[in-house]
Amino acid sequence: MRRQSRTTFKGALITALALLAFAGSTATAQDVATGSATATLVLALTVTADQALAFGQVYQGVAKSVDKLTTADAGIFTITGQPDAGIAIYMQLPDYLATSVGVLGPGDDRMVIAFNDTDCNIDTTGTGVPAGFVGADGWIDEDPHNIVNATTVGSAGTNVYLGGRVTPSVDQQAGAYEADIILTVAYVGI
Amino acid sequence: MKTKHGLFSRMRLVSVGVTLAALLVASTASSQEVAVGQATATVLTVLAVTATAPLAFGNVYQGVPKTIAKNTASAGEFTITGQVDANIAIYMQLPDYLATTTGDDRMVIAFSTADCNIDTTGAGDPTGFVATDGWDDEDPHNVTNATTVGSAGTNIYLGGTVQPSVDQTAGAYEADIILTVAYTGT
Repeated sequence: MRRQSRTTFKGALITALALLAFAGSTATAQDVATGSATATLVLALTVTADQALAFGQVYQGVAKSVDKLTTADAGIFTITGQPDAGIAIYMQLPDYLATSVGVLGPGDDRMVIAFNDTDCNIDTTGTGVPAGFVGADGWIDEDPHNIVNATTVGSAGTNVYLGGRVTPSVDQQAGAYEADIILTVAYVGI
Repeated sequence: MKTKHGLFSRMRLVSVGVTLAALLVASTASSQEVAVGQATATVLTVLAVTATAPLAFGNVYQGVPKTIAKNTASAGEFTITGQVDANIAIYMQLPDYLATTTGDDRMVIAFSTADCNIDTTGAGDPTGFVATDGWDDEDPHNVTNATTVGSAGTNIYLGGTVQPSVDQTAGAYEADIILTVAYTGT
């Protein structure tokens, strides 16, 4: 009977010692660190149509051009966002102006509009003044159908200036004509 | 068997993943923008030209030329309407002869270099025209002076001379005079 008690005590002691040792090693065998994943969203990209490409009064049979350097009449878009961020620009250009928007009906008419491959300037100074633009201010004589040059958002924004040409027919119907020009801009991630 | 440590690790990864997903959604919403601009134009008043009165020589005699002055009631007359004060270019296609309706005879017609008046008052009266009303003594073959559309329209008055031959066939003769007008854009 006494031997059993001694054995039990020894086992308990060994167990206790082992537990103590384990407790000590538990404190140093594992550690935890908390890292993090972070991201900073840059300034949101915005684009606005500031001014229509305005041909004004036109005559039947007399073609009329508006130069992209004409402050009063050139089309103007303004892009704002993260300065110096690379952006891709796409312009959806119309083939004609019409007397009404949407499906043309009886009495409506169309007038051809065309854009040549140098009818666009891209101004990264953000001044918004087509007449004051020079080549050093951005990209000059761009093809509005296919703007390939890398473009950036200027610190004060980036402007897109657009010219074009309408060709009224000799029997063009009198009245107001219009068409949409859609500008899509996206960050390229550089 | 899951340990408390394992549970904590899984929760931490989930929260990081949710945060990253939120950031990704936010960046998608602002990575592209679209603006719709416009191109606009206004076509001015339609240009219209009508032949108001024929150049009428009336009765003529074999072998006897007959002239109609541009400032008489028998003068040919055209009327042009359109955008007031807009410049227009005028071109007249003049015949070399009149012909019978059956085409079996012809009679020569001629126009001098002063057989045309251009009246910008729109009065439509060749007899009342004076030089200050527009342009006088114009060459109908080549109207070179800048012309404008008058507020009440612009009239063209035309004279000419027919030269019947001595054996000219009796009957009615006629020919077309074609007037073309276009805006110049100025």
